Amino acid sequence: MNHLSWSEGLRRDGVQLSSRLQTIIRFQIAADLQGFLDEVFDIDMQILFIIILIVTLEISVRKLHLTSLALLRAVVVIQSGQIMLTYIDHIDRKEPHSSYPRTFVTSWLITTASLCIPGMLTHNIQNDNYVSNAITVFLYQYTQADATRDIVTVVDLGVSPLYIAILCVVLAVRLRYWNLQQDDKHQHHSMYLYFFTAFHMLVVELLLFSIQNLTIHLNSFLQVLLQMIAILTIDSLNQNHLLEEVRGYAIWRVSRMLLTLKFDNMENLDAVMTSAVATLIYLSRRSALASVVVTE
Amino acid sequence: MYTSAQSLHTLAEIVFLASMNLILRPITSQTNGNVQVQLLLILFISTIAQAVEHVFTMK
Repeated sequence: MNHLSWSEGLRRDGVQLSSRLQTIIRFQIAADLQGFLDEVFDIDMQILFIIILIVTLEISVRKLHLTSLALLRAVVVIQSGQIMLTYIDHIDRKEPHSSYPRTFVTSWLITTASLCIPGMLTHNIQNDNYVSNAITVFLYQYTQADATRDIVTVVDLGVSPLYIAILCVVLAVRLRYWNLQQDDKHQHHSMYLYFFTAFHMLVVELLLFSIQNLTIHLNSFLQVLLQMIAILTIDSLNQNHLLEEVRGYAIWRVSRMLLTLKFDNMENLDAVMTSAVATLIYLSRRSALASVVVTE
Repeated sequence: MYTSAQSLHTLAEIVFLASMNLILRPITSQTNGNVQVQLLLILFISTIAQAVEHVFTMK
């Protein structure tokens, strides 16, 4: 990191940051668009509609070279993940005689099984920028889905989930690292690759939820401080950039939590002010003080 | 070795995402507003983010 020039370092950080921003904006678009589609179409029709749209746009962009439709294609592919999760939720909840625990557990299992679908795509398709973005957003959607959140918040694990989550995070990092050390070319094309990534995200969700639960009686600043310590710990475990998606999810989760906490004397907190603060931190990250005194 | 420069980067990301949430929240929370207009606004912001990434990735 130190060998990079200031401008090169800033450029690299900028790419990472704008990519992260795009992910959360796309997540938001998919959630809003789903609300709109729910008003217009039945869920069965939505699936048919999205499949036809994906095929049409794919042909338009790839074969007919209508590149102006590329952004729409990216939005539609991301939306297909959201529609699939909504459909799974719908088919499970429409059964009136099913008990609630059965409902969310089966729904979660089917949702988890659906994570194998992106893993079945060929390597070339997975490497397409818009497809890899859609898969990342799908992983966020999976972790934020009702069924997944129910599993995290409702199931009683018997012992404090905090310890389990910490153990799982450490194991996840070690296992992933060990797997990548193996000279197995098929490892990166595994059907279960996204299943494991989603599992890591679920563990992070469990960890942050547990911290939030344990610190609910503390004041807001202490809550944020503890969550920040957890994030920085995950970050420090991610030295080889093996868990980038998980790290991104953890950062997004904490940034959302920041807004839900009520800070005293901070009613005037707005987007411009926070952007200014973020820019200052962002620039100081590449300052001589930060990169020389501490890294040496 | 995990450095404070890296932790500053993480902190900057968190605050940037929080500010993005602050921008998106008023757009999406207008329940009486037009959904299409909300979507267009978010798509516009998405296009800007994509353009920023494109600028940074240009050699």
